[in-house]
Amino acid sequence: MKNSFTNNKILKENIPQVEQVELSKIEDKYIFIMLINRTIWFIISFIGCVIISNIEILDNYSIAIYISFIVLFILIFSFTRISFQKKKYAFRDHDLIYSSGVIFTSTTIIPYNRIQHLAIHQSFISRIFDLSSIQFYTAGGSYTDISIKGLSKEDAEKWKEFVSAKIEKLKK
Amino acid sequence: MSKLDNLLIKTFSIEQRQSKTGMLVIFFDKFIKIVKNFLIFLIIPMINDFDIVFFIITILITALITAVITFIDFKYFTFQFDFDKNDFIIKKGFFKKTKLSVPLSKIQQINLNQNFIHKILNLYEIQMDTAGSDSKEVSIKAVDKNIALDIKKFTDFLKNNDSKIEIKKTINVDELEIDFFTLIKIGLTSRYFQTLGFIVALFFGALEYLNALNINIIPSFSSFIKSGNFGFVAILIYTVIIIFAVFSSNLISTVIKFYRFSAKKLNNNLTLSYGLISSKTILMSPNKVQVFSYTQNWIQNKIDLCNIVIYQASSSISTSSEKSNDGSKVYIPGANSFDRKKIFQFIYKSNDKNEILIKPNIRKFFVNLFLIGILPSAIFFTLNYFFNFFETINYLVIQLIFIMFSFLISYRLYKNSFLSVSENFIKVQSGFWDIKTRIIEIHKIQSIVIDQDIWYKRLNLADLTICTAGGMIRFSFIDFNKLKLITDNLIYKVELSNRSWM
Repeated sequence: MKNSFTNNKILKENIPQVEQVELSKIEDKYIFIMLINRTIWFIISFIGCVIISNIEILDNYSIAIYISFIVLFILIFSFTRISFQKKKYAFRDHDLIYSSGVIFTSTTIIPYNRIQHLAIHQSFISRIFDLSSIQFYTAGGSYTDISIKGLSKEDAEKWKEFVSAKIEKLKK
Repeated sequence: MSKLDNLLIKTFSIEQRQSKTGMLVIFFDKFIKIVKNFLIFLIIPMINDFDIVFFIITILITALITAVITFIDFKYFTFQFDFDKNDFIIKKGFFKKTKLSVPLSKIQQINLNQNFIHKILNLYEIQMDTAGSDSKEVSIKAVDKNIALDIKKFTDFLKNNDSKIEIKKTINVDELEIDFFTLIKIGLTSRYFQTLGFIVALFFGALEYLNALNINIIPSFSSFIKSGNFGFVAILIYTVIIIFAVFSSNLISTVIKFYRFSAKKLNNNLTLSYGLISSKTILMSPNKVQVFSYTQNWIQNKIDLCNIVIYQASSSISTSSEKSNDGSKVYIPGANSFDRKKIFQFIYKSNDKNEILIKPNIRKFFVNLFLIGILPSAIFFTLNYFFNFFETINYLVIQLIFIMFSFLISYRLYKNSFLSVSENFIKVQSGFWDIKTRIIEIHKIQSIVIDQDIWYKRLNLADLTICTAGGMIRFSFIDFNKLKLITDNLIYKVELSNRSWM
């Protein structure tokens, strides 16, 4: 079964493989931004929690709500480090690869000749750490747009130049 | 170009207004829109004390305002061609002036629509769909039939820039017509579950609405359920009523929507026209096609009919509003397998064949069975245990039927799904009753996503999502080694290909 599958001429085996690409990690500083973002979420949802547990019907369950809320956030915070380590990217000759996610790992591949445009973003918090994110848009919709967060400003510019040059070259 | 063409060029080089009788169309369009939007404010105060004078005055004032707006709209709306730049230009607005110029090459399809008033006045609405992020949908509300057809001819001509030989080819047009009888057949066999869901949603929506208006029928409804009217005969009658509602609404909507459906080859494009109350004409160009999909259920398989939906590149994916997204879909109801092959051949200039077939892992069946059958059953059991909706005997019967059905559904979901890769195409089939097959040309792929959950890593399974400008297709529970090989090959082909995706 397996032999008949791989011997077919349609699927070639000696071509570049996504699996073998060495993916690079994002800047170490980005973990602080992740922690800050999670803290902000913590505060917002804590306020939500207080409001919910004050609703009359749920009065008896308020302790349960608080406990489950805190357990959830302990989990989320403890996952921060693994989640950070899982965010990886690579620029190949003809495409770029981005992979992320702890429980649900997803890997996205976009060929350069399908990129519509790209943009560098810098949020308020990332400005403090001097980090940028670079986003690649395709015509395939927002689900597959790659956004690599936590690059140093120079790296983001460098990759932007690199990809732009690739796209220009392909247009000719 | 011939003399006639020169005359046309002269006319369209200067600014053109819409048809004067078209003001009526614009008026009714706006009037209905305003009434629709403010209806709720009108109805609620009137339910208790209805004042006919007040009602008429409100209507008159609304009509007057609409008339003024219509006149301004009409006066300050012009369209023309710029033959130097190959642009189509629309100028509009009185307070806020807008100049829209659309490069003809960006126009993806031109639709000629007619609603009821259009039909009476023999006018057409022209809609131009464009693709690309900087575009807006261009529409001209009401023009004469001749002008509409001229514009369509022009844009076709300028867009393709083909020689006259190409135009001569239109004489031996390939035509596909779907007759009334086929429409009835397809109406009776399609969309059972969607319509059922729609009717249920409509029913509860109506309940909610009546409740909001303080017409309270919910108590009587719930007491009706509690009274235990669940005898065999009652259930039979309800089922017959529901089935009848589904069949009749399907039949009526299909016939109204697709009455006198015809598809014609014109130059390099496919022109489709259909509709009973409001007829539609759509121009579709093959290189804008992103996904070719067809649906066929068991009955339709026996009578050799299927529903084809063709997805084109759309600018509206990012905004993803349901209505505008619909414009990039092209429906062909009730095609037989010969027609299907003909249309496929026309769009892709090649045949679709399965070369490498990949089935999902058996776990797809178990996961579906768990999600569809076991999880709801557990919830149902718990609820029934605490609240005693049904007697034990009834509960057991319902539970047994439900488990049997979910087993059947999960099995068919597993059995019917496959992925196939050939030299130029990738094909995915799925579904338990309405079996949907979607085909993508490999060079039209935009990006690929591989998803792997933590518990599939050990089993060496993963999901594949392929994105195009006309939507994405997903295939789950594939052997990870096979998936890697396929992904590498797809990406390799996309990068090697010089063909444009649009």
